[in-house]
Amino acid sequence: MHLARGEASVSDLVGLFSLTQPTISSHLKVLESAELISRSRVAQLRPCKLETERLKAVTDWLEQVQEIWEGNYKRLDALLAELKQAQKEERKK
Amino acid sequence: MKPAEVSTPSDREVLVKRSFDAPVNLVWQAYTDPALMRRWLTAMPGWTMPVCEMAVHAGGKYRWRWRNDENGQEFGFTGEMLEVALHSKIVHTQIYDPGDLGGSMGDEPTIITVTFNETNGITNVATSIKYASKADRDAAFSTGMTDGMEMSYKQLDGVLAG
Repeated sequence: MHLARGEASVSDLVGLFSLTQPTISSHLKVLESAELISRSRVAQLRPCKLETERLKAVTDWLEQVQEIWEGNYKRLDALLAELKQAQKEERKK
Repeated sequence: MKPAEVSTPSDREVLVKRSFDAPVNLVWQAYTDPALMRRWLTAMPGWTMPVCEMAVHAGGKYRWRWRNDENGQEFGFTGEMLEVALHSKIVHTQIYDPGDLGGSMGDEPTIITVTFNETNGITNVATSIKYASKADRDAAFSTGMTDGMEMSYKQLDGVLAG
């Protein structure tokens, strides 16, 4: 999360991680296609900037998806406990 | 059981994983018997599922509809079963019917794949939601955000009224 502190170039990032330049570049390409970072062009350099608003919108959405599903699943837990109990009683007969 | 885990394996797919403390035959029953399904798949607080019809076999159609008990708003999903493998897998298409709730989840059907896997009495369920395109995923994304906002406003209303 080096980018949280400001823009950085690929060579800045290569210096920070023990990864090769092509590896860093391919990771950046994925982040860029997901619109989580943006890249400008200064001469030959392409500094990267973290798109914090977009990142927040995505994580908020996923959190909301999680809440809705977990709500359903909690009701499913209760229903399954009921079905298990009914099955047990059925076997006793 | 640990809370549901949500991830995005690709830019047009959402994956939800959860484990249940029950054997697969019971989980399967809860997923395929409409009378049982409408008891748990109620979507959001304050909503019920008045319509839950499904023909669980390849080529079978289904219709799910939810209703907000407070203001009568409705929305739903319809689709077709593509693959049904007993106790292991259900693949179906899904088309969002905005009813009077509004919003969009894209033009093309979403493909839902649910897999069931039992180990020692615990059933792991993985649900993959695959949008036809990134644009459709983004449409679902903005619809979801609006609904969610409305939901939290309603909860806030409740707090303020109480």
